[in-house]
Parts: sequence; structure tokens; C-alpha cells
Amino acid sequence: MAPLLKITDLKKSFKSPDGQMNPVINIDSFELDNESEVALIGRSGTGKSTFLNIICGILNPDAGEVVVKETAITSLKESQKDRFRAQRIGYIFQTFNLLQNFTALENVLIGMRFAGKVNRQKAEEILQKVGLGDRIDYKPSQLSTGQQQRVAVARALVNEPDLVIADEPTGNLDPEHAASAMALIRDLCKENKASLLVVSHEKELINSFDRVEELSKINLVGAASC
Amino acid sequence: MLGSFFMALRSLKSNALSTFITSFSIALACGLMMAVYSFKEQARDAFIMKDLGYDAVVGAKGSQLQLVLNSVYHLEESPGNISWNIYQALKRNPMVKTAIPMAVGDNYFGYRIVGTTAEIITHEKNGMPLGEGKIFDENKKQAVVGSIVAENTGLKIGDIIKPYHGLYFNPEDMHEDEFEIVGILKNTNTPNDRVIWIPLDSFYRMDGHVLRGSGENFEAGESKEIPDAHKEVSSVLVEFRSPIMAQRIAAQINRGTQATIAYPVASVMLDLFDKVGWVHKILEMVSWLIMIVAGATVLVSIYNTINDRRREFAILRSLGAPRSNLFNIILSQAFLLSLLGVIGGFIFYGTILSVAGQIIRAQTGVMIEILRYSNILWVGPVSMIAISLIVSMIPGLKAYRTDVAENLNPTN
Repeated sequence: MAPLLKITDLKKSFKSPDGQMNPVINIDSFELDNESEVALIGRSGTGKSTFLNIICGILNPDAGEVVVKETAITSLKESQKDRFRAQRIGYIFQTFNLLQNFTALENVLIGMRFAGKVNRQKAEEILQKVGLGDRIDYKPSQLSTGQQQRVAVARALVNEPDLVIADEPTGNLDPEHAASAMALIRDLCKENKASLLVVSHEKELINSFDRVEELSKINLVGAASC
Repeated sequence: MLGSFFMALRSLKSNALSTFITSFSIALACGLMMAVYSFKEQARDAFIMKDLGYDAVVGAKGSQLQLVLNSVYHLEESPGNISWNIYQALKRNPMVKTAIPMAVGDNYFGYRIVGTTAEIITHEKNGMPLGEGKIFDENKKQAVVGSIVAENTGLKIGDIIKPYHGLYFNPEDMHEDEFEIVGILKNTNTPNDRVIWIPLDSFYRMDGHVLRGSGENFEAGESKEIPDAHKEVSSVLVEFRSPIMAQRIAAQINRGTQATIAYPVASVMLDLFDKVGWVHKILEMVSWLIMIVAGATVLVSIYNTINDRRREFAILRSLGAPRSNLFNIILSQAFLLSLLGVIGGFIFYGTILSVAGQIIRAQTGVMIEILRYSNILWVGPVSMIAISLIVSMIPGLKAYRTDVAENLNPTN
């Protein structure tokens, strides 16, 4: 059976102010199976966010291929990538990235809108599931940090994506809330049969992951610099 | 729900002050533009297109415009008098259907008193509807007043008035003659609403009135018989039987030295409007410029928010929003802003026309209608919305080009 995520010969460089090309990503191969979990650990500046942005089609690589659910996302047109990202990939950010002018429910519904499956009842249900049933009409500024994170989790999972990417999802939470937030993400991914790719530098939170990879080892740029 | 309009609406709501100021400037621009055009159209119609009832005005040799303004619009000084013979010649002319004499020179608290025959009120086609009372007896000192006169002076049936000499009110110039109000005319939204009509004979007999039709001074007093030779009138309103014959008579009168004929009345006023047309052109240009400036405020108002909203756009893109969606949000925002402004513009338009209309009605008797349809009432708003949409393409493109990866993280 083909893996859910398959990355081959991925390269990405950025132009530095002096005009030189600085390689950031150089990954020969990386795979993630269906309904599996992997935790990537890495220090700041090792290209974690760039790597995740390429996987979900926000950034284009200089070379290589990213295949998600048998679709080569790197070959898609931009509009197709947008649609694919909305429908197949859930993205949880360290800074939650909630839309401040919209309520918790609206934030979730906006996530559904771009996937073309707006369903208010489902949005309410998932908010209920993450423990915010009584906060659906609250705006992010009226919610605690932990509650905001839960809205972000609900938004990422409401479209039942095949792949959930979490970039330092607990980075802004205190240890107690961080553990419960991580547990919530993992539980919901299992429930939805979604694969989970978590990037974190908090070792104690990812100890329970069966598969933990060091980004510096798979990213040859990082390996060279280490 | 949650479409571009909804998102744009939220953004406008969260920037309420900026939204208010921008839509207010649009409202002013749009209201002014509609008022300028509508006012021009209505004034033109009122002074030119409106069926004035009579084809021509005959009066003293001189300016046709002054003659029309004085006799039809009851404005300006009378250019002088013509002899009774001219009136009689017109009356007898088989090509003339109606000839009504008018004598002016007195007022009542600024409202013009016109000596004439009862026909001006009873005329089958061009008469004026009587609201209450009756028409004056041509042999008595009676008066019929226009609706604005009655409204503003409180005159009612049975009241007695003493005219003042001259066309402009001067308390020291009061005549001793007393006229009884016997009728009040219905509102016609014409300059006639500002006039007090009295019989021509009693006009001649007012103390101090001197007739010079024969070249000699003649004071009729209360009871003296007035020979036709002494009579004179300020002007004669004329209705012809056919336009072809009218041309011949008009040419004949204007070739002579005794009188001037303003024919057709509408073309005389059209000349006036053509002469002052440049004023309207400038006003129109100014109103278009103001519309463009209002469009620029839309641009500035939206453009200024773009930097603050780059993260919001990046988040939307990360959720799968196509670039076109961001462009649509900005255009929707411009549309809603201008729509809000246009709605306010109608309020401004109504206010401007209402105030200007009251002044014009008080000065001329002509009514400006706020609710009257005019193309500018849709051309103005549609243009304003179009200008806003066009200028908003600049911030729209900036939003379209938002770099997702660069803007996803908070700036503080």
C-alpha cells in the first residue's frame, strides 16, 4: 500500500540579502504511512516550517516531489493546491492563526468553506468535542490561550483531512495544557483516521510517539551544518 | 454566509471609524453630484419645458428675456408699457386665440400685484384652479391670491389689503386703496402662486397711478371714465391659433418700433440657460472631481488596512482560500463601502434639494421635487460604485499577491 506522504529529492533554497542562494531543505526521502504518527524534532532554523509549508503546498520547492494520498502536490496548479490543502490537509500552527474578527464557530466554518463543505452542525459538534460547546460565539480575544488552541485544532480537523500537520502546536501553552492539547490532537487524528506529522522541540511531549525523527538527520542541509 | 461579502462586512465593522469617514465622504460626493444634475434638470424643465400656457409675450421694445421674466415668472423690472391699441390689435387679430393684458407696478409685502382680466384665471386651457372663494369682479376692488401668498401672509377670504407702490416692498409707499380678497387659488407649483391678481380697471384707478398711453398724463381716480387712448399695459400674454401664423405676427411686431414679442417663450428661456450653461458645466465637473476624490478615499482607506491584514490573508490562504478570494474580499469591501456611501448620498441629495427647493419656491414659485425620477439618480450611484471598485483593484491586487509563508507568523 502506498504511503500517505512520500517525499523524494526535495530541495529548497532562499536568496540571502547578499544575493547568494542558501539551501534550507535537502531531503532525499521521507515517508509517512496512512493512519500513522511521526514527531519531527529539530532546533530553530533547521527548516521545520519551510518543510511543512512545502508539504502543504504553501511553498514551492526548487526540486523534488511531494506526494500526498497519491497526488503529487508539487505538480498541481496553484488553485488545485489550494483546494487540495483545504480538503486533505489540516494545519495546526504554533500561533494558532485564528481570524481575530470571527467567532470560534466562524473560524471553523471558514476552514470548511474553502474545502467546499460548510456544515454548521458538524462545526458545532467538533467544537463541542474539543470542549468549547459553550464558547462557539466567542471571538479569539475572548478565549484563553488553551481555548484558542482547541479552536485551531477543531478547524484543522473539521474537514476530516488525511494528513494533519502540527507546527509546534503546544509551543505557546504551559506544560499542563500542552500535554492535554497534544493528547487531544492525537485522539482526534486517530478518530478521523488521519496521519499526524508533528514538529516539536519538546521531547517530553513526543516521547510517547512510536516514531520520532530528528529533522537534522533527514534534512541533509541540517546534517551538514551539525 | 462566510462569503467574501461577509468577510468584507466584518472588516468594515472592525474598522468602524474609517468606514464611517469613508462612506460619509462618498455620501457627500454622491449626494452633491445627484443634486447638481437633478437641480439643473428640474430648473431647466421648470423654466423651459413646463407648459407655460401661452405662446408669446408682447411688451415694450427691449429685452425679450426681461419681458418673459417679468410677465411669466414675475421676476425682474418691467421693461416699460405698451399702448392699449397694441393689446386691442392682438385681441382682434383672427390669428390670435387669446390675448390677456397685464399691468404691474405694485406689491403687497413683496408679493407682486398684477392687474389683469378674469380670463387669466378662467382660461379654458391655461387658467388657474380656484381653491376657495370666487374670481374677482372686473369692476370692483377685489383680489384673488396665489397659494404661496396665502400661505405666507395668512390672507383669507374677506380680508382687506392695501397695495404698496413699486415691485419691491417699501412700507412708506402704501396706496390708500383697499382690495377685498375674494378668492384663493390652488397651488400650481408655478410662479403664479406668488402673485395677487386684481382687475385691470381697479389697477388703473389706484391713487397715484398715472396712465400715459396717449402721451399725456391721465389719472383715472375712483370714477372717471378711462378712454382707451390713455390706457396702457405692461405686457400681453398671447396664445396663437397656429405656429405658422405666429411666426408671421412675431416677425411683424419685432420689425416695428412700438413693441417686442418674445416668441416662443421657451426658446427665450433656453437662450438664458444656454448663456449660463457654463456655470452648470463647471458645477458638473466639480461634482465629478469630488466623486473621484471620494473614490481616492476608498483607495486610501482600504490600502491602509492591507498591511495590517496581511496575516489575515495569509491565514485564509493557508486554509485553502484561492488568491482570487482575497481579491474578491477587497472588492466586496469597496462595494459595501460605496453602497453605504450611496445610501447616505440619497439622504444628502434629499436634504440639499429640500433646502434649495424651499429657497427657489419662495423666490420663484417653482417647485423642485425630491422624488422626481432623473437618470442621475442611478447614474451617480452606479458611477460612484464603479469608481470605488476600479480604485480598489490596487489594494485588491496587493492582497492577491500576499506571500503566505512570509506573513503567517505574527509581527509582534
